[in-house]
Amino acid sequence: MRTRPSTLPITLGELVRIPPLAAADGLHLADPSRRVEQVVLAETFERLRRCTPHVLVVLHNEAATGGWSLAAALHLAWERNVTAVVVSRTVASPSSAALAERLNMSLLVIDTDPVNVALQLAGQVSAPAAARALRQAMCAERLAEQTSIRGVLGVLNSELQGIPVALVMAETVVAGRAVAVQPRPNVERVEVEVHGPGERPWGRLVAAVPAHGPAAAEQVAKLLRLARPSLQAAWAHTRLDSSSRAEHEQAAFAMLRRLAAQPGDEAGGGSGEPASGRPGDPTAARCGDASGDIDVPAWSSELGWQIGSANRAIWLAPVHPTGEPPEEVTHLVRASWQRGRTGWPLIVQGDGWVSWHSGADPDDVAPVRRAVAAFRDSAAAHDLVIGVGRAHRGVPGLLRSVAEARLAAHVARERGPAAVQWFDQVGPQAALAWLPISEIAQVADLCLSDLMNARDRVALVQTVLAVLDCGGSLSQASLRLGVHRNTVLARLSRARQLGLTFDEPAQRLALHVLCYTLVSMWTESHGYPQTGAAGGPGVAPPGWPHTGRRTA
Amino acid sequence: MTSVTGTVPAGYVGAVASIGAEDVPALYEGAKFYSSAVGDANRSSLTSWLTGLLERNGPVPLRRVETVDPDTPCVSVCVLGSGSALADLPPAGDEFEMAIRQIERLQGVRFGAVYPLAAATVSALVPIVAAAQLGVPLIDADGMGRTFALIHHTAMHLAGLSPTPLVAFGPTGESVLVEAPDGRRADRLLRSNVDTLGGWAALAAYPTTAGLLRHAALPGTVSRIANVGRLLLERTDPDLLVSRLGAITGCRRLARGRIVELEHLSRPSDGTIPAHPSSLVVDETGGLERQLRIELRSEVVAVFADGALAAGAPDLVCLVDVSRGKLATLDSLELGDLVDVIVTPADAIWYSAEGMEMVGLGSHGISLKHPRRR
Amino acid sequence: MIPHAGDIPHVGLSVWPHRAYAVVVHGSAAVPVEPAAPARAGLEGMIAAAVATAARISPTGPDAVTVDISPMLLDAIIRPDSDLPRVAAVRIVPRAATDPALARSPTALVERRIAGRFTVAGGHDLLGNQLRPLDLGQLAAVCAKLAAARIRHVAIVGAGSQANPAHERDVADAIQEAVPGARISVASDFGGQGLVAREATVVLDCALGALTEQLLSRCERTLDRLPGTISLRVARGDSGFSTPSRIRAMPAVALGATEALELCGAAYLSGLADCRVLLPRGERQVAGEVRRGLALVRPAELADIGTELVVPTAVLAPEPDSSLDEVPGWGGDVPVVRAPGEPELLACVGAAVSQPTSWLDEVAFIESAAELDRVRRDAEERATAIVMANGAAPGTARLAEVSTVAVPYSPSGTVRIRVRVAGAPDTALARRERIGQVAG
Repeated sequence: MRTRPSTLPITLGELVRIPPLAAADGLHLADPSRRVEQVVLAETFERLRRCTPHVLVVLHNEAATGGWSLAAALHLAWERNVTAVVVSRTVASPSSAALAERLNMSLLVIDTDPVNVALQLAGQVSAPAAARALRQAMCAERLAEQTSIRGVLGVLNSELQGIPVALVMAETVVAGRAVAVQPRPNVERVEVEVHGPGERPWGRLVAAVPAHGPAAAEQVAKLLRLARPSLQAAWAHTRLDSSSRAEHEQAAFAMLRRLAAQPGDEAGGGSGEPASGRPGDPTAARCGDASGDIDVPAWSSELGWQIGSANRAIWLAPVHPTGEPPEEVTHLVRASWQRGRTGWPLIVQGDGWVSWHSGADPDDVAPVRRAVAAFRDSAAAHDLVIGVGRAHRGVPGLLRSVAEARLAAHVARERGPAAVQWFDQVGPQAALAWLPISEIAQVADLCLSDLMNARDRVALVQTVLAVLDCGGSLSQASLRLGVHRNTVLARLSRARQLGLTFDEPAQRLALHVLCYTLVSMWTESHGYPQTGAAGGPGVAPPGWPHTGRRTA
Repeated sequence: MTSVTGTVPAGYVGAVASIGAEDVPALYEGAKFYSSAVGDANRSSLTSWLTGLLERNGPVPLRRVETVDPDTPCVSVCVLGSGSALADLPPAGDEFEMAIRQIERLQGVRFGAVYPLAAATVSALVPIVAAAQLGVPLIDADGMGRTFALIHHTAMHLAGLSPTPLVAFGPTGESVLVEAPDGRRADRLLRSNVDTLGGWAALAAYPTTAGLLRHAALPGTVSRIANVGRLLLERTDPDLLVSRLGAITGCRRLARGRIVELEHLSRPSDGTIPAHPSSLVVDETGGLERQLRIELRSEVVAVFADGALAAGAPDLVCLVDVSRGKLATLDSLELGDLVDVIVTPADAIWYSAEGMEMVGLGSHGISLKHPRRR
Repeated sequence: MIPHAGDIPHVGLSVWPHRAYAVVVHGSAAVPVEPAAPARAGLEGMIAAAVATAARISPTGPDAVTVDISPMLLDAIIRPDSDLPRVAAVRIVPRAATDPALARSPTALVERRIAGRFTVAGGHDLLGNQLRPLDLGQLAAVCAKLAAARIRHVAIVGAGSQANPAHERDVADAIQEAVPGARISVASDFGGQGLVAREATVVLDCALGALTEQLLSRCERTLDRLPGTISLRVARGDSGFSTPSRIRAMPAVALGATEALELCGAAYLSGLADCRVLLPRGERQVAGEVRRGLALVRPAELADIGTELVVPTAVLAPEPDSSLDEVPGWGGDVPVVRAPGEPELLACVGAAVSQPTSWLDEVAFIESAAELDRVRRDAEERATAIVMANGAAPGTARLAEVSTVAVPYSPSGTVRIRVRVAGAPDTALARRERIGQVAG
């Protein structure tokens, strides 16, 4: 981008943006980039004939009497290579506009006195730098007053009338007019990077400049750059206020839930992006209306939330759930989670936190994988497990993903702190994660007190569990446990004596659940995974080691 | 109309020797060509009047000015005022004769010939009426060659002749006699009286001798009208018509296009010429596809092509309605009509410096240079 | 616009000296009506047959019948042996004509209708200023002569009466007193320009009064006998229609309707609202134009009569033999319609689909361009009032055409204003009129 030395004459396009010509109607604008070196107030055709090129002519009195005089003036202006003709509105007619188009001569109509307009224009033309600087200063003032992203973009859009501006983060429009990013003919895209803290790319300001409009691409870029600091300040402003932000976020998320739960109320076109949810997804009817689409609320983008076509939620939960996490913990978790991922939200939900990533491609798991990997140290330090949901579209999809992530996190609990469980790999066994282990263990204490007091209760329960898991086959159970078949028999008879009458059909299910619960509880307290315990021999998520050990 | 008896001069070559009843339709059409602003409102009445007179009194001899004895006193006649007023209040029939007789009484002469002040529109026919009523020949010459707005816009005035003493005789039977040596003053004195007389009057003016007239009038204009009229009566297709007319009058077609805008009476008048200005925008079909803007006062005074002046007063501009194959009058134009813009140069004297000052674009409030400026 | 009103059938009739023709238009279909018997192809028979046909097509039946009587009127004017009454023509001008040609109408057909000519000194100019006070002595003499000659039809035209009808009214009042039963037509009712044209119009108007009354009464009696309330509409020369009472008062308005209706009928059958229509006339063709469903009309010379009138009639120009497609620039943009079918039936179609119209043509004087708007609006309002009187439903009036042109070589500010207004038929009006007539 070249820099403009301030001695260059002002162009027609720039003049048209500042008063008095800002109030004028352009009946035809041939070439806004033409420079204007002089302003002439022409009363007679003689004066018009003496005009030099690159002059802006304001017609007045005799030369502006009526249809023929404007036609003749336009022709003379065309012969003299004048930049533009300005005339009072009463004089122009549709045929004048047609003639101006034919001759490709810019014609502007004004409502105020031509003499005043000519004087003002003369002042502006003689000091172009001043006019430009004035415009930029006025714009900068307005920008500085804005404290919200929306406000900044509003100022930009109103300053650049007819040129839509949008703030884009990672391909999604966060604020401004979405039409700015749509590809259209005869439109030039001007982009300005906005950096976040640490000079890392945070977002882009995109403007769609019409190819033959009055504004030049450079001017627009200048204006966008002016807006950058205000934008960053607005962003930082919202981020700084952490605790109120946390409440804000929680409330906002609750609203999202409520939105999704109202079928058909907020039916709309979603975010307008192509459907990319998993094929055969049958649960769309559960959230929102039949089309599964709810308009992404505008306030969500203010918080920096992106809800796009592939939303994948991540649930962070403590290994031992203890109710709502204290504020300091939230603070620490947020700090480490958002390190390097400033765009990702973190919202307190229930006993854990939910975050999500929004992208265009549902199969792109790389960002989430990176995020989870980076967080593992902190997860271990704070005793957290991580569950990752599948990618779904729109607001109802997001909430669905949240539910999946939460479930996955519960399943992950069984593998200990810093365990990561992807919902893709969770099957029906996830139902077991919901078991209230401590309550069921109480049942065991009450009804099977003999068993609970036995010294070898662990082995007994494990054996019964293995047998039941294997559908009653002693040989398979002995293989699984790694002991001799007779040992299994002996333990079974002892267990039966202590109350585990698992061969009675009526009690089998209850005892199966009881054994599973007890084993889970005892495993947890031991703090390391046991082969064949929770979940069975599941398939590990791709790329993750089987035992959930830390990766390098 | 009566059938043709006797000899009729063949073809279009040479001057007509006399005007008879059978020439009246051609004369009317030709007279219309030279001033196409006015409508046809009074056609049948005027033509039947003239035809009846010529049948009763016999044909009027048409003489070239050189063939008339230089001492013969001559007087010009024309209709002053608007054709609409004439249509609404037709002449009783004796106005022109009365006007001429009044000057005769004042000057103590007997006029031996009559000539048209302007050989165009009704003013081309009434000299024939006067000549038939007085029994004198008509001189084949006139003062304007077309219509102009004021009575001093004549070749005679440019040659230094005074229009007065003149008499304006109205249909009410009232008359006004004006004596003022300067033509401009005479016109001003006369102008306001015309309205009071009823909107039009029979004017007898420029009493002079044939000898002075040799250098002060435009020759051959009456026979020209007759020839043009015969051509127009044939009703051929517009292209052929224009090329044939060009041979006689030197006219050419400027463009053919459709009317896209009619700005009637959209602007305040400029005061010099009595009528509200208005304009017409025509989009040329084919050719250069220019946008033509036609400026009207009582006639077409200027034609702009894409804003550049292509023709202007004193050029005679008329519009031919292509779909109907005849001249279009200004009040019959509609949006969407296909018209030919025909430009005929006026007689040479009008392009001189004084001529242009009197009747050129400047006099209509258009201060641009004429494209034909010598 | 041209009505394609679905359910109601529209009936159009054209009355010729030898027989009447009728067509029923229903939606886009036009059904010619056959007479019940060859002998019953007269006015009454065809009305009855048409209504019956319409009732067969649609159970609701027609609510109106539009009849074009202009062929009968023209025939009466043209035929030398017709029994049209002769009219006394009274001119109010400052001076009587001295030349015999100027004292007469240039057209023999019109002159034939005139029993005697009288001149009363008086008159106004184009803008309404009095040129000469009305000569009451002359007026009394004229009244005496008229009474003595027992002339019952008088046509009065005064110079400038369009702008100021005072003299015409005084003369008309005096004559009415002198000859109480006389039918008097005055030119100021018609507007327009040109004394000769106005005189011709008013003479024909006066002469046609009795014939028109007769024809319309026959139509009304026939409709009375038929079931249902069917109103009668009469076609005007500008392709619109008006009520019988107004046509009785001014029959000249109905002259020339046939051509205009043929144009509209052809356009309607082709489904076009804007087109150029070619009508056969002997071996040649004439072309007329239809714009927005209405024929292009002007006060002009009516071909059969040979004189200019001030009532608007269709503008027809002879079509040259060579095809106009070869003329460069000639409209590919205006569709050309060749008249399908018999001209009499086309006229009936045009009558069936016509709308109430009104026409105003006058001269005004304006001091400034701003006043122009006021004058134009004023003219539009008056034209709207007239179209409602002609049978338009309130609120449906639309401006079909307006033109204001400066009058050349006149005092600066003289303009000629022409306004044409069309509307949608008012079905309620018909019933009111019928009730009024039945009641007395």
